[in-house]
Formats: sequence, C-alpha cells, structure tokens
Amino acid sequence: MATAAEQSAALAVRARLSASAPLWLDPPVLQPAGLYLELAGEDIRTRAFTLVGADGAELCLRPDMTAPAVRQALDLAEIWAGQGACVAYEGLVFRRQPQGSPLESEFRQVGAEWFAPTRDLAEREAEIVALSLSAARAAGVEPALKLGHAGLWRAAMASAGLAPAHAARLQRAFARPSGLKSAIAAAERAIDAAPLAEALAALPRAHAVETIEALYAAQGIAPIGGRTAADVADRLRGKAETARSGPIAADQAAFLRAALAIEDAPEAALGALSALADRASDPEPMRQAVAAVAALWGAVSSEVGAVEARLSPAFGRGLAYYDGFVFELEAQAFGPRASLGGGGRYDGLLRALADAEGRSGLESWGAAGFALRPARLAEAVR
Amino acid sequence: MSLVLAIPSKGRLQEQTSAFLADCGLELGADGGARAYRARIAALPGCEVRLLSAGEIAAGLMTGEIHLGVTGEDLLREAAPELSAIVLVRALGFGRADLVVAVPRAWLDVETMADLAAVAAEHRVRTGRRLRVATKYLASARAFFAAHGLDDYRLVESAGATEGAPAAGTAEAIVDITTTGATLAANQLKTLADGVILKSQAQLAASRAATWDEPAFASLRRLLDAMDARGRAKTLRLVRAPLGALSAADRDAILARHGARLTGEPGADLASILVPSHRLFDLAAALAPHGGPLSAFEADYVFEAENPTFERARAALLEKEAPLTHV
Repeated sequence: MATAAEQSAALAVRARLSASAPLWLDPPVLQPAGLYLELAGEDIRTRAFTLVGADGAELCLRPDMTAPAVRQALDLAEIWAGQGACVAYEGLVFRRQPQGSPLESEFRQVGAEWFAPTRDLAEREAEIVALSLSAARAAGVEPALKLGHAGLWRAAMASAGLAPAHAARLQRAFARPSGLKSAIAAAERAIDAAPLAEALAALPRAHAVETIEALYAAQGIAPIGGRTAADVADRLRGKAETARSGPIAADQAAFLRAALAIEDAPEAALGALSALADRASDPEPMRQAVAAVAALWGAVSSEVGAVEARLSPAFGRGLAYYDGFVFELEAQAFGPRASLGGGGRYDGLLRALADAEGRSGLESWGAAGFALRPARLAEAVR
Repeated sequence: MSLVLAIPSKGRLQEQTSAFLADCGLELGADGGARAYRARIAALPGCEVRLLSAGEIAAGLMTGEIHLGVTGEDLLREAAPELSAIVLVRALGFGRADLVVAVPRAWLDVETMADLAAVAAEHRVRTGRRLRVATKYLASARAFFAAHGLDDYRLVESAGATEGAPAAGTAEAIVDITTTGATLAANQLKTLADGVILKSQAQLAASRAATWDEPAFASLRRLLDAMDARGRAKTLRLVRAPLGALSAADRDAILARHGARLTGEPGADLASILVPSHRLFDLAAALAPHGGPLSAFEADYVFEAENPTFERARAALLEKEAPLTHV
C-alpha cells in the first residue's frame, strides 16, 4: 500500500500533469504477452510476470505503462483525427526482479505521452522534458537530468564512414545494455569470407542464386527455414563484400570509442562532440545531430532554468524502444535506486503497436513521453 | 533414513544409472513389496533410494526434499540456471549429450552465432517478426543467446520432437540435445560452429537446501568412496613383484618413472605396487630383470585414505550462501 508520502507525491505530479494533459487513460493491467515478446524480445519473459488465460492465451502484467497507454490511445479516434494530443495516466506496473534484488516488483507510475505528426512533435520535445522536471519539482524534489539521443550514435557511425555491415552490427550492439566495446573490437579484426561467398560474389546475381539451388539439389538439401536460395546467395555475396571492404580502421574504432566516452555537462559534452566531428572523415552527419541536440538542450534549459544535467551519446543504451531523445531524472546522491523516472521519443514503438492493432495511416506520426515514480520521489524528498 | 538419493525412474538414463551403481557394488534392491518407486542399496543401509522423473529430481534438489540426485546436467541447468541451490558433486561418465543451436542446412551462409544474429536481425526487418527458435530448454537458450548478443528472436516451447519444427514451418532454428547429430541431419539441420551450449552428462548432484547432518555426510562419503574406488580400480593394475635384489633408491626411481607406487612397506619377498594400466608393460620390463616372476592383477576397488571429491562436496554444501548485500 502506498505511503502517505507517496500519495502526496503522486497527487502533486497528477496536479501538474493535469494542467497539460486533457485526457487521462486507464489502460488494462493484463496485456497480451505475445505482443510484448515481439516488441521487446525474450528478455521480457524474465522481466514480466506472465500468466495463462482460460482460453490458453499467454498474458502478462503490464511491465510499464507506455505500451498499454499507446494501445488504449489507438482506440480513441479524437487523438488521431486532429493535430495530436497529450494523454496522462497513473497505475501500477509489475516487474520480476532477481531473487534478493533491492528493486521493487510492483510500483506506481504517473506519466504522460504525446502523439502528434512527427514534425509537430519535434517542437514539443523540450516541453516534455520540462514538464517532467516541473512535475518532480511540484513533488518537492530537485532532480538531476541525464540526457541522450539515439541519433548521436547513428551520426557517429555515419561520420566515421563505416561499411553498412559494420554499421548494422554496431547499431544492434548499441541497442543492448552491454557488449558494445567487444563489438567494436570484433569489427577491428580482419574478416575472411568463405570460399563459397567469394565465388558467388564473382558471379552475376542470377547465376549465384542458381549455384545455390544446384548445391541444394546435389547435396539433397531441403529449402526449409523460410529463407530462399536467393536470400542465402545475397547474404553470402554481402559477406564477401564486407570482407573486401576489410575491418574497420584503427582511427574509425578510436573515433567511435571517443564518442562513447564523452559524458559531461550538456554544453561541454556538445562542445566535445563538435570537436570530434571536425576530425571525422565526414563531419556532416555528426554536426547535424549535435546541432539538433544543442537546440533541444537550449530549449530545455530556457524553460527549466538552472538544473544539474549530464549528456552522453552512450546514454539510452539498452532502453530498447527509444529511438530519438531519451532522458532520465535522478535523485541527487542517491545510489543505484536513484532513478525517479524518465522517457523519450519512440516513433518506432508507436508504429509497431499501430501495425499490431491493424491501424494504418499513422506512418507520419510520432510519440514521446515520460513516466515518474511517486514512491521514489517521496524517498528523495526525505 | 539419513540420506535420500533420487535416480531416474525411466528411460535410458535409468538403465545406465542402475548399471553404474551395480558396477560400483551398489546394486539396487526392491524396498519390500513390489513398489517400483523406492529401492534400497544393501551396501548403504542409511540411504533411501527414490525413483523419480527428471523434473522431480531437479525440483527435489531445489527444495531440499532429496539430498542427492542422478540426472543430466542439461536438465539441472535448465531447471536451476544459477545452480545456487545445487552442488554438482561428480560427473558420472554416461548419458553424454550436447545441447546445441541448430539451423537449416539450407542456410549455407550461417556457420556461427554471429551469422545467426545477423540473419535474425534481417529476418525481423524483412518480415516484421522475430526469428522463432523451438526448444524445451528455454532458460539455457535464453542465457546462451544473451551471451552471444542475439536478441531478435523468440522462443517457441516445443512439446514433442523439437528437431522437426523447422521442416514443419513452426520455427526457423532450434536448441536441442544431440548425441551423434544424425537426428539433426535427418531433419535437414546442422549445428553452428560455436553453438554448443553445454556438453552434458549425467551428474551426481547434491542439494544445499537439504538437511546435511553427520549421518547424511557419512552415507555420502561411503557412496563416493565406492564410486571413486571403483573408478580408480579400473585405471590401475596391482602388481606383485619380488624386489629384494633392488636397492630402495633404485626401486623408488623405477616406480616413480612409471607413475607407480608401493601400497605399503614391501615384505621380505614381495612388494605390492599400483601402476596405471597403460604403463604396466613398461614397468614389468623395467622390474622383471631384477627378479621374477612378476604378476599383475585387476583390482575391484582401490580405496584411498582421503576422498577429495567428498571433501569438496562437503565444503560446498556447508558453505552458506553469501547474504545479498544491498546498497
């Protein structure tokens, strides 16, 4: 049961959000587990409580509020008919924690999400960060802000001039909480393509596909597994091409490591990123990304006034569905349970959920939002 | 009864376990009546044997309802991924099988886990769905894929013949047990070069959650002594040789050179020597010129004063799990 301090923190946050969000949602606690498995991967089985309905359908207790809120919002025609809307919600979320973990299995979130055509939404990003800060302040907490942007890493790879296969692999590694350093190290090692890949790369594509089909026939291989001979031939040819373009160069790897290592107050971090961009083989992608984040930070700081803040291109790693700006509010000097909440931009998740619900016409829409944890706010007040 | 030992109640693992115990001189006898789920071992009077399914053995070890269980390491690791409640006391040398990741043979471009990760990512982009991996080993597969940075997949729990799933179109890849690879090949599958999740075999496993009093430890010690003494005997030969013509220094030098040792102070006529089986003929050639005849025997058991397997198990079972420290 919520303590009085938690209830009063929740009340303060609700009051602040109500001023901006005209619509309060009440999404279901039970969500289809299969949808989350597709969206978030197998990891969800270890992080969410799952159960089986009478009809055999696998369900889970909502592990966060964002996806359930989006799913409920998709049914509300008034949101999508006009220029978009802001919705708010409050509710319990449920996460399995490892035995002995100090983290909670059940906690309350109060949050807000904006849905709007992507162009309109960009202008609102600073407003979203500012609202989360002012809601925390309304609860009596002066939080520290951690800010990141998925676009910074994408831009760093583009500016470093990575071959597409390397960029794809390092982008996948970035989305995971760990293993990026070893992925960069792996990309520095020479790659050998198999002789078959080399041979296919030397053939016209149609002949390469025929060669794979002939191999299947000669070795009695059945084409099972959902990939055609053409898929296999194309990927082998791609491997030969990647091998020809070689491993990433030492200066490319150093550039990426330097970008990841930057973490500082936003002005200083943006300055360091600009200086790094000047060294890049193609500075333009990174300059654009830095300018976009600088504009966001400028707008945030003019709205919220002085705030302790840090910015890093590495921040936001492993937060699977955020694909634009991402931020977190932390209690100051508060250890590993410091997170008071956070949020960011998630256009990809909105579109995936719209597809899953059979909603079309939202291709040019985006979404961004945040959720705060009243119990943590109440702890931080004390 | 001070010690409860569970063994598999059916299948090949049951046959192999019974044969292994019998070979160690620990024949299973019916425990009164004709009830098939309990047994006794005459040589271990303090031990109650229960015949349980593999799942019950893993669960019993975790709850502490049984002290010891014989089951496959693959099943133990699947049931208790951290193994924090379970101590693997002794690998038993049978029930060998590999838990592997297998993909269609048609995927000529996929040889490693890194290839599979790339194909899974492409699959998701192309189809909008995650690559499906059929398995009964959900926890083991999840941990292995996470360690290899593969996350664009989802597991499909298979009830029956996992290896048929790709051909049936219900999954693209599988994680399953294989011994020779023949079943995989017959189903148009191949293993990945770095796709061996676990080289499994039958294990004697002990429960940290069970009550380990001195009588229980005494029974465990006797069980392990029998297993180890029997296992050791199979690798050694007992040699009886008259060594009176040799000086003690020469004798010891020859024995040391062949990895052999005296079993006690040599008598006036004959010394008893233990030597690794594969070095017997070399030792015989070195000793025979100094006075024959020399005879060699197979031993049924070779017991030692110390039992390191037992001491390690005892220490691990008494070790209290470190209390979780919270910041």
